[in-house]
Amino acid sequence: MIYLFNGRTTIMAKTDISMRGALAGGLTGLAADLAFAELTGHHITTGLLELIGVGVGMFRLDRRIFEAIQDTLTRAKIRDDEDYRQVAERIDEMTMDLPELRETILNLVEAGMSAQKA
Amino acid sequence: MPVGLNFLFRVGRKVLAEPLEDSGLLPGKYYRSQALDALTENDFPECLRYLKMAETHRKTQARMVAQLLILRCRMLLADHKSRIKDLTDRLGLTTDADKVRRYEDILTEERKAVQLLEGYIREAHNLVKKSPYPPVDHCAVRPA
Repeated sequence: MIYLFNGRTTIMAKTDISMRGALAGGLTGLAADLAFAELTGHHITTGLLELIGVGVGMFRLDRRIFEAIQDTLTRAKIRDDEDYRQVAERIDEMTMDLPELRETILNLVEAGMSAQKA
Repeated sequence: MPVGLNFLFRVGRKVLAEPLEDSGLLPGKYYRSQALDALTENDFPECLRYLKMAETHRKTQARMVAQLLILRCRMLLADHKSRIKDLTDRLGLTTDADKVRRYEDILTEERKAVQLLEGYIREAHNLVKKSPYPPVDHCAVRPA
């Protein structure tokens, strides 16, 4: 197999994928995880997933804040057919002294209206 | 090898995580992320705890989380106040002793909820507004 890495051509040995080996490896891993959890009470995979989750969460913070704002507006709906503009008008008084949040909600409403027009 | 590392991580996290978190030594982004997690789960005291360590007044993301917390609390506050008004109206109309007692019990709980929510709003407001510099005590620096 030939790879171009950092402008240099590298030749690597062809990799054979063994389904039987993968299955054996997976089962061994599962058995080790279960045995470890039984013996020590610690769940390896949960811990690892938790670590990955916190890491990913930290990098996606802006996106998550935006989703939390959308979720808050959805919670503020009285009727199902209400749109964000109607909700934003209703909660207008509550966001008077929250300038950054107010601006983001306004942008969200404008984006929604532009999407509707398009 | 990964088993050993994960075990160490889990044990380390259990033993060190809370004191380390409380020390405020972790990166600000961690506290902001955890504050948002707590807010998503409607755990307002926990959200405030993380926001206190997230330099809320300086960072836009933390200010947004704090403002979102204020908005959520205000929305809940409006619901509770409307229930209090409804219950007070009902109390004025009923004469049944059992109902009166039940309404009064609910009213007490509702008022407690209002007080709690108002406290969260006040705390979050203080965090957003907090100046990055401590106020100068002019009397202390005035020459004698």
